Order: sequence, then structure tokens, then C-alpha cells
Amino acid sequence: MTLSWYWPTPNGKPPLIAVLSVIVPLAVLLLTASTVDMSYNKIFYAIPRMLDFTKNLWVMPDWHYVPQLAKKMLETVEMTLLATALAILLSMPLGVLAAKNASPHPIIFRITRDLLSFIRALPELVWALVFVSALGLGPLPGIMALSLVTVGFMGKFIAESIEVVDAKAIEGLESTGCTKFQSILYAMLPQAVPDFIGSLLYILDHNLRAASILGLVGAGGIGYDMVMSMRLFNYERIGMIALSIYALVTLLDRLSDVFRQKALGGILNVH
Amino acid sequence: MSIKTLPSRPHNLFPLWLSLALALLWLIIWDLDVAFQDLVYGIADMGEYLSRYGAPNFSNMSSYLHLMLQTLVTAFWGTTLAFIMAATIAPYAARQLTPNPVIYRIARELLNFMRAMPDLLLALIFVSSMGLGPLPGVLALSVHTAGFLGKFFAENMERVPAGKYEALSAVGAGFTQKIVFAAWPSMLRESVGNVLYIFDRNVRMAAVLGLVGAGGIGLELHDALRLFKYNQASALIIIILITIVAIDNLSSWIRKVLN
Repeated sequence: MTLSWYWPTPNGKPPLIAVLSVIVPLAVLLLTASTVDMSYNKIFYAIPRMLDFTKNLWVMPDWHYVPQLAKKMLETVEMTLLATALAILLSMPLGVLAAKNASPHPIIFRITRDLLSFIRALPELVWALVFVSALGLGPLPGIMALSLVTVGFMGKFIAESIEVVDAKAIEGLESTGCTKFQSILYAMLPQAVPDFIGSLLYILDHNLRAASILGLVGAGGIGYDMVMSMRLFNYERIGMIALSIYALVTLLDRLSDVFRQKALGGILNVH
Repeated sequence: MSIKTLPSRPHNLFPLWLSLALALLWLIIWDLDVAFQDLVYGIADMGEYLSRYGAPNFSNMSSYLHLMLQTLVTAFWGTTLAFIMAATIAPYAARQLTPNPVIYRIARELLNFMRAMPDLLLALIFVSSMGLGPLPGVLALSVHTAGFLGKFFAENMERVPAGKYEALSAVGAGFTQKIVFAAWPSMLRESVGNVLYIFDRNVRMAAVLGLVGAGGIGLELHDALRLFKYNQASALIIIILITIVAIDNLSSWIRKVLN
């Protein structure tokens, strides 16, 4: 079918770059297949077991588990909100220092940028492992891990949205003799707010997903119950947990869509 | 016109929002029962604790490098399979291309569902049905991130000017031809950016998938910390850090070249 198409090139054949961009990744996949145990046998062997697993999920939910489920889900949401709030607090100053036009000195700009990308590099779960081994089990290490990684991302986003603000407002303020701090506060930050709300919603979404798996290493939230019921083949609970995570993530997704439209439509008066 | 007809100055709602947010946070801290003062008392201990990571032990370097390679390959396979799934589903979830509204809804909800399942939960499920090893990790990553990529691709397809689709329909192009000749050439740049973003994300995720037995370097780190082998843990963290920073820089370089 593809061969009978007339491509928009001088000779009507698919362009070389399109062909290469199919062949090269396929070649890499074939070469690395053994590293990831990719084999027909393994996949076909797994299909009946997958079906079996899915069949096992169709059981009556364990109603006695509902109060604990609700408590753990609430804990997950609370961890998300608290970690995000802490991260906002810490990343505001760092974001300003890491923006080229607001930073007091190029060296400070460089150092903050590198610091932020260093914090951002490791995934939450790695930090959570380290904090759990330092502080013990519970939501506190989870909150710390989440807010640390979020500071890395949020600082970068804030810096980027400050860097693209309209320079006219800054010039206007400077012509009236304001200080650097005043121009950051009254010219740069207000213009960065819509961008900032967009990245905040993205971060909330990301953090909710991350918080729901942090329990895996004992750092609070629904993740611990998830792993435990999986290990104990407690199918009644697995289904309930998966469904409630799905419901929560979807709810936040829809809410943030509505909120984003409002914020961009200027209905939300935040400054 | 008199001055009275001017609209009144909008209310400044910021103090209200701020105090509501602070009240909520206070409630959360009270409910979670987290004691931040412990952190303040613990700073001296924290210094001692961090000093245990001071001497990274690279004696198992070759096995660590092998695990890191496995992690990277897992991320690559996961991203490629996600790309294939996403590219197949996305046209049905794009308003201009979808054959009918019911299929559009189904495709959207399917992508939404894939996105909502955490990849570690999927990895747990796949590990229990196909055994330990990187293969369940690959499948978990690909199912989860296909949801993201599919959404990005569908949005990109919806942003393509409607005239391009119309022009191709006018010369008799079918569904597949519209995707290949109208959608992809116009959205190639954003889509490459999206794929790179997902690859970055998958490398990070693949580094921790080992926690549930799905291959890669994560299990080694977990074991090192559980056995209090801080020197090995710090060597592993350094390797993961260097790899992720290198991948990040590579992808931002590719992005710069494309723009």
C-alpha cells in the first residue's frame, strides 16, 4: 500500500531521512533485545498469566478496607499539597536568582542554575530511599523528597517564565528610578504569574502521581498498601486501590483543565 | 460620560486566597502529624548521616555499568513501544482526523486510563505475571507513557491548520494518507520534543523500576541502602546522576539543533 503512494519528493519515493528514521531505531531495538529479555517465548508465556490476573481482579471489593483506603488516599493528597506548597516557598527566591534578567550577578545565576539541575536530576524515589533511611518510615521523608525534586523543577520553570517577560515594563519602572528588587517585585513577577500557574498545575499533577508510589519505599501514602496487597495477592484491594488512584488522577486532570482555562481567560484575579 | 459609568476597580483577592491556603496547610500538617521541629534538632545528626556517603566505593563498577546500560535500554525500548502505541491511537483521539465521535471518546478515555495508572503499579502487575527482569519494566513504561505521548500527539494533530487536512481530502487522500502527509510533517518538531521529554522521564523511572523487581539499577541501590552499605549507595547515586545529566544535556542539544 505504502509503495503505491506518490510521495511529495522529486522521484515520488519516500525521502531517505524518513526511511532512516524507521530503520535505525528498529536496528537498535533488535540489537538490544537480549539486554531486556525481550523474546517471543516470554511474551506468549505471559499472556495466559495476564488473563488469569485480570480474571482474579473481578471479585467483590473488600468493604472493610474502605476507611483505611480513604485515609491513605487523603494522606497521599495531603503529602502532594504540602510538598508543593513547601516547594513554592523555596523555589521563589531560587527561581529569581536563576533568571538571567533578575539575578544579581552572573556567577550567582550560574551557581543557582546548576544547583537546580542537580536537585532535579535524581528521581523522587531515590531521594525518598535516602530520606527514609535517614528519618525512618512515615510521610515526612516522602514530603521532603517530593518537595526537593519539585524545587528543582519549579525553580527552573519560574526562572524561565521570568526570563521571557516583556522588557518594556522593566524599563518603565527603571526610568522612574526603582531598585532592582522593586523591578523584580512589580514588573517581572506579575507578568510571570500566568505562566507560573500553568507550571504549578503541571507540577501538582506530577506530584500526585509521584506521591501515590512513594509508599513503595515506606515514605507514606497509598503506595505501601499497593505493594503489600500485590505481594499478598489481595486482589480485592488491588482493584480498589488502582481504581481510586485512577479516579483521583482523572479528577485532578479535569480540574486543572478547567482552572487553566479560567486563569488564561483572565477571570482569575490573582494580583 | 460621567465618571460613575466606569467599572469599579477589581477586588484584590490575593490576601483571601493566601489565608485560605495557609489554613489548609495548617490543617494538613495537623492531620499528617509531621514534626518539622525534629528536622531542626536533627541537623547535627544529618551532617553525620551524610558523611557516611563520603567515600563512594566503585569496586563493583563493571556490574554497576552493566545495570545502568540495562536501565538505559529499558528506557529506550519503553519509549519506542510507547511511541508506536501512541502514534497508532493518537489520530483517533484528534478531533479533525477521528472517523466518528464515539471512537474519539473511546480513544481519549483509553489514553486517559493509561496515563492514570502509575508505572510502578503496572510494573508490579507485569512482574507478577511474567517474572522478574527488565521485560515487565519495558511494558509498564510503554503502557504508561503511551498515554502521555498519545495525548501530546493528538493535541499536536489538532493544532495543525485545518486547511492541510482539507487540501488532502480534496485530492482524495484516505485516513492513513492524511496522517502521513498532513499531520506528521506539520507536527514533527513538537513531537520530537515530546518524545525526548518522555525519554528523559523514562530514564529516571527506569532507574527506580528495580525496586519492584523490574530490572535496572534501582534494586542494587535499594539493597545497598537496606544493608547500610552507604559507600556503594553513593557510588550508585553518582552513576545514576551522571547518566541522567548526560541524557538531559543530549536531549536539550538535539532540541536546540532542531530549532
